[in-house]
Amino acid sequence: MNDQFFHDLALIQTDSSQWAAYQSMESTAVIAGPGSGKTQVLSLKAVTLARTMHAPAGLACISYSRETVRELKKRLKLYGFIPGPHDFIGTIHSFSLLHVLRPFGELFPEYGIPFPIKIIPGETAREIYQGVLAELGVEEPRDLPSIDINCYRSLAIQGLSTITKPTTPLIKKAAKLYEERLFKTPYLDFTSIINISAQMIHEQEYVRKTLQSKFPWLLIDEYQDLGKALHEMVLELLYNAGIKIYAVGDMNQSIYGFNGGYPEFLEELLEKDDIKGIRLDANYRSTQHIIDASMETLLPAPPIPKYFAQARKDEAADFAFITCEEELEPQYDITVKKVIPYLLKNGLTYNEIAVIAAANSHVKRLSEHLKNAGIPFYVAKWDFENSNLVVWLQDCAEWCINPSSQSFDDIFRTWYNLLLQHSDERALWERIRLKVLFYKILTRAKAMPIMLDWLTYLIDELQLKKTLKDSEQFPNEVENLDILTDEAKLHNLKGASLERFAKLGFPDNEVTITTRHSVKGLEFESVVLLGMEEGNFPNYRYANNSPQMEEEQRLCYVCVSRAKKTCVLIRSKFYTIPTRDGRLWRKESQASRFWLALHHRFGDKKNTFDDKDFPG
Amino acid sequence: MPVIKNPYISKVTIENFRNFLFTEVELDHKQVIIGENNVGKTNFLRAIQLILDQSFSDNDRTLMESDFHDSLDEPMINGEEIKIELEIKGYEHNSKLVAQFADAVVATMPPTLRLTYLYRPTKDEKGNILRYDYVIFKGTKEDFQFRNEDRGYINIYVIKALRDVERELKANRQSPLYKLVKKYEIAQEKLEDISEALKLAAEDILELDEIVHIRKTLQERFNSLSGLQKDNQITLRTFDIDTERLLYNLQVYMGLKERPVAELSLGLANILFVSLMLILIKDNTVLPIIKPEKFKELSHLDTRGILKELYEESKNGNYVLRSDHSSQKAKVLYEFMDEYNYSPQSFTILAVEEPEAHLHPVLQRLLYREILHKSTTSVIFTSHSTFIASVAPLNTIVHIRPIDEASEVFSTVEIALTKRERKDIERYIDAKRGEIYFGKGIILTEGITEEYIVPAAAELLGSSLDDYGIVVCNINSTNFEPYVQLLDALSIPWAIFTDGDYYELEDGERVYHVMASGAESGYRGYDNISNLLINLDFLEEDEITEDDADIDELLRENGCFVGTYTLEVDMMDSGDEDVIAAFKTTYGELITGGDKMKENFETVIDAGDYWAALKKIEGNVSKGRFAQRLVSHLGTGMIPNYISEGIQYIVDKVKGDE
Repeated sequence: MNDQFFHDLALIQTDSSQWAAYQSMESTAVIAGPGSGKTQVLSLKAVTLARTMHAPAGLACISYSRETVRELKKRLKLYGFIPGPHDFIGTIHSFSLLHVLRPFGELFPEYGIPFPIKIIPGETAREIYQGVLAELGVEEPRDLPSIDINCYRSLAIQGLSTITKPTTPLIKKAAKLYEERLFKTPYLDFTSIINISAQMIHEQEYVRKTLQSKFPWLLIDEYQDLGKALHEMVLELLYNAGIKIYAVGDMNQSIYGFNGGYPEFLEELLEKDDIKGIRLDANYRSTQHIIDASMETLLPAPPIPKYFAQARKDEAADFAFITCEEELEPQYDITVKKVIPYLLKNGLTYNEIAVIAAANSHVKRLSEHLKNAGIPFYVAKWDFENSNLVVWLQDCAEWCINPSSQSFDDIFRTWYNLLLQHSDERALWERIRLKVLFYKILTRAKAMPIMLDWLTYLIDELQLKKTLKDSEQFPNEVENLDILTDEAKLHNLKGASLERFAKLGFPDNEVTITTRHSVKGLEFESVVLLGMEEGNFPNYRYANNSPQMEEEQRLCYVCVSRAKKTCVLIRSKFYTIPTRDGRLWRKESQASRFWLALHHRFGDKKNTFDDKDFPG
Repeated sequence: MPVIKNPYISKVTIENFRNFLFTEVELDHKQVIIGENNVGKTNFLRAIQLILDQSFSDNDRTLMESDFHDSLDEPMINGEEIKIELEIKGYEHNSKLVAQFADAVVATMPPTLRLTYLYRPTKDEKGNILRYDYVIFKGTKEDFQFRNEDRGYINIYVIKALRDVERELKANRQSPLYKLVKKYEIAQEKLEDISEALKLAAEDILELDEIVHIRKTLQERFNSLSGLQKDNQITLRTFDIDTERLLYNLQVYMGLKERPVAELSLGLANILFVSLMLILIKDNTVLPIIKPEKFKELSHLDTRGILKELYEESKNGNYVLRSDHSSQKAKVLYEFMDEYNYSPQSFTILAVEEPEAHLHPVLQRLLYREILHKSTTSVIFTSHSTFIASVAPLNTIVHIRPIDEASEVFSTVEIALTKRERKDIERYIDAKRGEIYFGKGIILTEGITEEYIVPAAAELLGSSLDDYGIVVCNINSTNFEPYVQLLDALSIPWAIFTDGDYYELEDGERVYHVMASGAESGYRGYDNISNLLINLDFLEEDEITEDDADIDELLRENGCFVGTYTLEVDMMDSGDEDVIAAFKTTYGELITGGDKMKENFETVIDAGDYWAALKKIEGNVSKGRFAQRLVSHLGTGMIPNYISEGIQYIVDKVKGDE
């Protein structure tokens, strides 16, 4: 606990909901709308709880992705909290591995957990999927996407929850076949890791008892994203282990249905008698207009939450609705040539702007436009995976730039463990010899200001690829390193500085370009939404009132609520698409229902443009 | 053999721990810590041990309420913290230390490491104390933890004052001799051969009839007692021939008669122990002996051919480091070994508490000279021994003394002296056996007369200097400045008693050794002392006025007491009849030249020509001998005012400390 902690504590004391959420000492579900300061409340709560724990009990904090975990850790560090050996802060997967499967897998052989625990290589997973398709006689992968199989698998876990999701017999059958095939390999995948863990917690009292003595409290961030297995674990631990739950989330920001994350789980949790529900309704991010706008797109079922602007009560929002002629290219073009310059002219800086596109391929194309126009940009989603190894490389880079920002011992230990895990012969050396070598290499690498040079040097000198060759723990890492190197050699990180690499998680006065899903959790003064045609967003395949359509609505809600003040929507009138018989069809596109809803309320002559008459 | 020095603790800061409320001290490669009993010398070392001692347990590092400084009221309720901070320098030549302590670096010019121990409360958000724990961290960030692994590279070993040296030197795993032998990694086969040979050699003893009889009797007795107990065959052996224990059977014997340690005097055993420790903890980056295979392996890497040059083959086939090479070569060899000798290197700072125990003064001096001047290991002594202090280099003294309620630590590391001044003062301290360090207060004088007169005068005034622990130091010169710097650095109270050296101006020239005639005049003593006080920043230049009385008062306020002429002349000049009589009597008692001489002396003294009288004392008796005898005729009325006031001043200072 430090000055920053007390500063932020004093801050939330002025908001009665935040303060109540922080002070709650019973199991709690905090329903936190956009911009409501939930991470702050959660972090303050975590630090305070950690203080009251007595070793060997510790703090357990679970979040959705490595990125959100990193963010949470950073926040806790900011408050002067250093996790000890008894604390856990990480993803649900690492929680399952570290605290359920590893310690109990051999104790309960009936679950058939293969030891050592190895994650399935991408190649093997693809083979299993192909095998299932073949067995079921499905020719087109799009008729039975692997994502649907995995989604069903993640929902298949049975426990205390009463929530079920409809599915098709085909998917059901495919999931069963998939599991059987997976079981025959010496591997686990991410779905089986958490499913088996949830099942063990459900069935084994000793596992629950151990978890209860290790973790009196379980804190969970982004509850709506975490899926059924976690939900079952939580209910089990709450009712049958006496662990207190502190869950934070927002049903309306649930956009990972394809991964098995549905808003119903958080709703079910909230309805439990043993859970105290607290809503954070104040929005410290956006103007009331933006809040209202985001609600328009959401079209929520009653009861409709009433969010109110707190920080920027009296400001009016800016909207712009721009219609281009044909295809996506003009949308990129006007974004780069007119929209961004216009925003800059209105006093914004690069890092206050986000451009949100539908898919990774769109992001890539857009980035080319930006590069040609000389506008600095930041891609929130890269082709390489932000794996533990990449995070570690970034830590190394940070140490090279400023040794006091990063513990040398820590980055060395990570490397040493990597060598140990992979039986690299160098792990047999005297530890100090290895440390001296590592120090020498990193010290020499300090002289390389360009990321590519630095990265190549490090990969070569540390012989990273040799270590990771045929790795069982990180089967895809050599490939991932190649993608990373490629990015630095040819693509968006070409010529990038080492500093840029070290701070990859943060735009450095750059325009952020991102997909709709990846923008979650971020905030910008201004967001630009591309591809706002009906059929593209929402997708034409989703029927009205279907769960998928509801998720599209939530996705748009998430996108719009990222903005503090300005929201620019862009669409095209015509698209040429290939028909089933191979001909091209120039099809007229209508404005998206989201566009129409927003335009209905906020649109007028002054803010509605053709691409030609947009100023600039 | 040229030297590359081991790392050392360059600075220690202690807050709230035991005797110390807040103290910060710079240290050097070798230190001698002096100070009264109970002032915290051991606790000073303990503070360092909390961070660096490998033998400390977690429990030892977890402090208690009683470890807080006494002046802190309910420290663990009020949330007080104990903080100990060490800075370490002189490590950068060793690449292992550089890598191991990358997180601890706080400066690079010169490279400096910092380690911090913190015993502090964990509080909840309302400020309630939940518990106390300690953390030890590297550098400035609490999350850069200092671990036991780190202590494998830099640590401290404390040799306690009163301990059982004999037992420690005895054959066992903990014996430093055994540890030393182990470091050489003697080949197992060789040991087995020796063991076998020993066994054979001992066989004869076992075949003596008497021994056979004893074994038999023992066996019978045992059988009758143990009944059906199986496997009760009794075997006799002369000694342990297990190869491992063979090594720790190695023992030191001394002298022509090869006396075992048990028969040595405690003092010698002590030296032996310290010597072994010093060898044991030497930097072993450079291998003294290299086995043939290893030598071959290393030679491949040795592009500069330094190995072939500096090692020679022994008759056992090993390669032994020669001792006769230049420091340039030694540096090259060190760099080579630093790169290719991968064995973990532990750097131990040795602390020895009161090594003077049981040791003859001559040996004390020898031991210290050896260690302080020659050893590459960083060593800290605590000592009461003037013999030790007297041979310690000037910049190695650390003085712990109480100030108000707490102890503070002072050192001489940073005093700015010229090489000549340093040598002068070291010679003086050596000659005077370090007395200057052990006074609770010091009176600096310029001559032998004061050395005799001042203690006697104090006695007469009812303030015995011995009772207050005040020492008169006659530096035989008026260059007080380096001495004042030294005392000031160590925070030892001091006063200067010096002559006024009155002079008159004649045609612009200074004429000394004249009595005041009313002519234009001055005092060299004032000039000298004023300069000293200005040089050392006790006074600003513009504080010195033209008025002699003002100057005199100003100097006295700053502990400097200046006479008029010179002490003897000032005494005679007092006009006191008793003084004159005492001078005459003393002179008469000491001269051997008969009545005529005595008459001549009385004549000049009666004529008021005191300078002439002094000249006769110097010429015919010597000032020292005269002063020594004069003491027995001394009366209170004879003491010049600057002497009596000066005595009062230093007595008050010393009293004020207590």
